[in-house]
Amino acid sequence: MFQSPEWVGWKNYIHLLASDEVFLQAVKNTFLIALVTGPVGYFVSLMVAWLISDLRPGLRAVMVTVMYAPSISGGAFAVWKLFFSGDSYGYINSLLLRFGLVSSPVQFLTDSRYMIWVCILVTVWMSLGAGFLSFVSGFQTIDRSMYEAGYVEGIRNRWQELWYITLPAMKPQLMFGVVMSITSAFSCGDVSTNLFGFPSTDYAAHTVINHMVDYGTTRMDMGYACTIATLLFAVMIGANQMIQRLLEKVGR
Amino acid sequence: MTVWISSGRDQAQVLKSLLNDSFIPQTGTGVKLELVAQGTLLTATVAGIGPDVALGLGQGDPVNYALRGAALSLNDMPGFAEVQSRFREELSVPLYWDGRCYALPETQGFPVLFYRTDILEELGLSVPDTWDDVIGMLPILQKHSMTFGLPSSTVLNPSGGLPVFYTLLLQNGSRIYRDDPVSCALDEEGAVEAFRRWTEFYQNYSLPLETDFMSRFRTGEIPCRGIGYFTVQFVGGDRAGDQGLLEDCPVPGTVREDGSVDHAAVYSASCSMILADSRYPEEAWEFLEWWTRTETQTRYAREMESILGSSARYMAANRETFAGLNWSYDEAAVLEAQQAVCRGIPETAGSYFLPRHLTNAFRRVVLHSADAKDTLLDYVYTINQEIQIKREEFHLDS
Repeated sequence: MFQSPEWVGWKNYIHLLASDEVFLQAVKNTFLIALVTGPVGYFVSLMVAWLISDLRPGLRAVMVTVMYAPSISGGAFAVWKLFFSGDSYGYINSLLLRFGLVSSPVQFLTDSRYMIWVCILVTVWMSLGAGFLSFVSGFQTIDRSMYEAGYVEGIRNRWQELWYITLPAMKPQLMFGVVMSITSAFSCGDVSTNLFGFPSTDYAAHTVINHMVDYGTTRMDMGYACTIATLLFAVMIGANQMIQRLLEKVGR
Repeated sequence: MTVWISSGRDQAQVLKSLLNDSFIPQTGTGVKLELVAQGTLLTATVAGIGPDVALGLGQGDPVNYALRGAALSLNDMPGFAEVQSRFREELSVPLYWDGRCYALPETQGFPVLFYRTDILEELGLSVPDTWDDVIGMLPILQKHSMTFGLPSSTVLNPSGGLPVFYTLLLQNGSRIYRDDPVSCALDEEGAVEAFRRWTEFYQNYSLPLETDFMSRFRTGEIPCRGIGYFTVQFVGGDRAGDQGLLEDCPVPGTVREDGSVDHAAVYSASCSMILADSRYPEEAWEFLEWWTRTETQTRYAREMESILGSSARYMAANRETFAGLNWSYDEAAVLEAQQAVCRGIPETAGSYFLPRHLTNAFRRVVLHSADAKDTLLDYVYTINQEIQIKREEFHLDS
């Protein structure tokens, strides 16, 4: 790391793709988290924003704050550590013990069988982020006369209204939401580090970002860390392109 | 000359006044003391704007820097042997690589056994001297809804449980690395046995895997802590709160063949290092020599304690300073006895894999009821593979 770099050709890429088992595990975890939390988070934000947009302005501001709070609170997901703590006095464990459902505390945060699910739960909880805010504002910007014109043209219910008028009219916001949600889904890693320690037991909640940080800091192998970052970047661009194509179909 | 300290503002201020009082007038060397955030050293050194001396590093750092040619070897410095004699030899073990020393120890950490005199007396238990005594007292403790405390690896401290394993291992007469640190020696008979005993405490005797030790010690649920460290609370305030009910003694031991008891445990250190691209190596060494002197360390320790109270007790690596701290007579004897048998763990290329995978192995056995021997051997294979990869990276013979 302090010496001048050595030319290794494609060695890092070959090792990464062909023989790094931990990387495969990390890819699997990242995709699982991204697949569950990305779409779920996106649709939940959209739906919640849609519902909220019909409220009175005062009440709407309160609801937006309530929904948006988890994602701006930074490290506040650490409260989940209290819930899932492996101590017999942890919130969930003390309840389980009191009702006699288990005989010894469940190690939610260090047992590789439970960790990934805890990770997904917490990530979903935090997923109403910047995309959500842009949806809320997007709903406000739509011209009322569009709806009136729609009723004249034969829109019969609110679903049709949503699909044919609202969503096409707020495509820029939808796009922004997608970009934000993909980047956050693929770059998740903080939750894993904070909840399960670094690295997590048997890499059970290891994400691609964690893998990169592991090589970049603990193992001081910058070349390999860069290899991982490059691949991740390529995959993120690919996913973005794909979803942009999908979004073009909205309203058709 | 630039010196970096990352422990805290109070520490930096005390050191600054010491520098202005004695080092700078005595030597005429200008010292720029800078308080930096932890972890800055690596990036700054890579960028070429690092300091000459870094204080308060972890014990794994010097060898990691040395392997990459970024730490200065201290062996040839004037008076090196005399400076080394200020510390216990074992404390410096992790600071050596290939026979050369790359840092000086600053503080030391080692475990003792803590116990509540009132509770043990009430239950009619004597203080355990060996691990067998510990197992013998467990049924009585558990009958009273209490248990015996051993540190374990948690989310916040992923290698927290390892001192227990290392203690059992050393007392078993085994070692962690082979003499040439090309591979770890944990696949040897004695190590497997120590690993089995470690996991059995949790499997067969159901010790808790995660506890808040301080609160349970106070409520009395854990009246006895086998491998306990002098943390902030333990030296300071709470100790007075326990009204003299807290005592310490050497960690549980293992009976040797000749009938004596081996109380070996592991040492850990924080240390100070000179960076290889320092432009003032002689002055930097002069500074380290001055900083590790008994007189400087004692003044620093006293001033820290007078500012922050006894909770800021500075566990100096310097032997005379440590002995001169505010210990009671009995306590000093216990600490002396424990330190005398403590051993340091060597560092090697790729040694970060050891705590990581030992914790993994431990959890697989305890949580998934895997076979202790198979599991350990599996992970030792992974660890040795990593050491091998790192040796190739640094062009070391394997």
